[in-house]
Amino acid sequence: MTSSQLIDVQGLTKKFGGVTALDKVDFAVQPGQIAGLIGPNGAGKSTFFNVLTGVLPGNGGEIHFDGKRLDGVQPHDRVRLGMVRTFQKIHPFYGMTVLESVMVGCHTRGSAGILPAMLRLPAVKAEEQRFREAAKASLAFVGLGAQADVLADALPLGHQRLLQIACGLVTEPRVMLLDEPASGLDANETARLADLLLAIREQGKTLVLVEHDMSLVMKICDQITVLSFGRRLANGSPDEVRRNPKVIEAYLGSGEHRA
Amino acid sequence: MSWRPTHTQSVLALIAVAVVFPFFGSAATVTVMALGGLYAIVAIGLNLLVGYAGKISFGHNAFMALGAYVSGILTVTYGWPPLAAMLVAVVGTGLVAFLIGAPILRVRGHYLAMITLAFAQIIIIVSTRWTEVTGGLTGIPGVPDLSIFGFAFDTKLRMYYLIWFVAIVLFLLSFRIVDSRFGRALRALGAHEAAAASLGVDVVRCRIQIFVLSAVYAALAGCLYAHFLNYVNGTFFDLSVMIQLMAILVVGGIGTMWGPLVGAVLLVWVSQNLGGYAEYSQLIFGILYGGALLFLPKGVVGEITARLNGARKAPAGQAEPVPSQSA
Repeated sequence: MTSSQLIDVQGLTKKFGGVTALDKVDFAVQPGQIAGLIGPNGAGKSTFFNVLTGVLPGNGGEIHFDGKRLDGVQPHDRVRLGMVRTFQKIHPFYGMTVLESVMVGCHTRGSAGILPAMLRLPAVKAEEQRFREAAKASLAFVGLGAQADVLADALPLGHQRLLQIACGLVTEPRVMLLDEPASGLDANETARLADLLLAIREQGKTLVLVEHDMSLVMKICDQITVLSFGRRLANGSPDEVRRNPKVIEAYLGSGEHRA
Repeated sequence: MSWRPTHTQSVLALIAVAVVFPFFGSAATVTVMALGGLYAIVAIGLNLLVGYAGKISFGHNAFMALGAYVSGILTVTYGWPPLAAMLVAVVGTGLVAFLIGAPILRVRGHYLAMITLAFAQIIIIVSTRWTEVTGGLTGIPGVPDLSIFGFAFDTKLRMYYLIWFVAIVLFLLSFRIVDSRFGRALRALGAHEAAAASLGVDVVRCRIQIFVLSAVYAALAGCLYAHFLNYVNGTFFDLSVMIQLMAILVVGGIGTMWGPLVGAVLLVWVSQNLGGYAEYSQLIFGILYGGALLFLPKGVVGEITARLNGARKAPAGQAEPVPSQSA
């Protein structure tokens, strides 16, 4: 294992009963890069993502984050380590404003409990002010500054995706894991998302995205891993992956070859 | 409808009504509304658990009973001063809630509802059968009046003011709770657990904390109950009390700040004005409960708020201007 990798996954295996959804998958990301994970439907992308983020337990293999074993670390504790994820399916916090939703992401940056909140101690007020400013900055960064006081569930889908990213960014992550961030977006919105993701990388953050939108992946990823039937089929730069005959056969050109 | 009371105006109106009410109501209605205040105290805590954290308890009547019995036993049998007894009752009940909640709230599903229901039934049975300690069906008569720093709450009217003072303070504190780091975590996990956890919220810890807090509110109401009636009896806290508490939440508006207060006043008023129909109280509460679920799913307060908001719906994006800090 090389120490230069921020995320290092070795031999990750996941079985559902008799079905092997992931078969000894290796995956590594260097700091400051955008890594893409692609593959045909049922290739195991979502399973890989869920095991990587701790939602599902794995059946074998190791996940290292910055040299530390991640297996068994609770999802909420991973945020403190500097790893945050978004969901493909949008889960707005009903009844909360956009600003409040982002402030949920400040949770690990503070410590105020119930009693200090009831007494509204000066330290709590100061913490709230810090949260509010961090949340506003994060919203402005993704372009939702003007929607701060709107109810989160009233936002259109494209804005919901940006809100998720703002929530994730405010946790001050070192790596963001994005599950299909472009799903449901139109071409304009996808283009703006690409710019946003590149701007996030500019800040020195690392990104991993599972994505169906091939042009987005090819455009912004430094490195792409292709999964097929639970195995790693290929790994490399967008150009290498694009030219890989196995990838073309299994994924891009499968329709024509089988016809 | 263009005018809408501000938060401060609404709170001042509430305080004014609570203060002035005894001047107009009879002694009997003051007693009834003191009871309403006690229910409001429990409902405010229960609302944070059910309405904001999305977990259901059927054991808050037992937490009331624990508060009342510990207060009653310590003051009557052991001659403790009421405030010391109250402190032990409230902290002790919080500890019991922690011991129940800590293992149960780790698992998903409605286990909390089932376990608290079983716990409550055990507490009520023990309270009426363990005669040496609880006085059995006779209960504990002669609970002394509460006195704080030499001021004796020795009339129903004084207790009415004390109870509503506590209820309004807890009501105001619940605004602070909801609008805090903890409260946002609570609301987020009530909306979607995995999404809240993905942002660093320790879902289990938050749920345990709010469960314990709501049990503490119930215990406090139980203590005040004991000193208010100068008497403790297990039948005061049977399952029908829990049903009434749930009806208060549903009718008032689950997950609204004013719901517990409005629901408590409404339902206690109804329950005391049944007259000859008192024996049908369970049926009447059932109808209110079901009727509210069917026709007022947001409760009285939720419905009023929705109407007011609908009348002055501001277009999205017209929110406060935020200085753009485009990167």
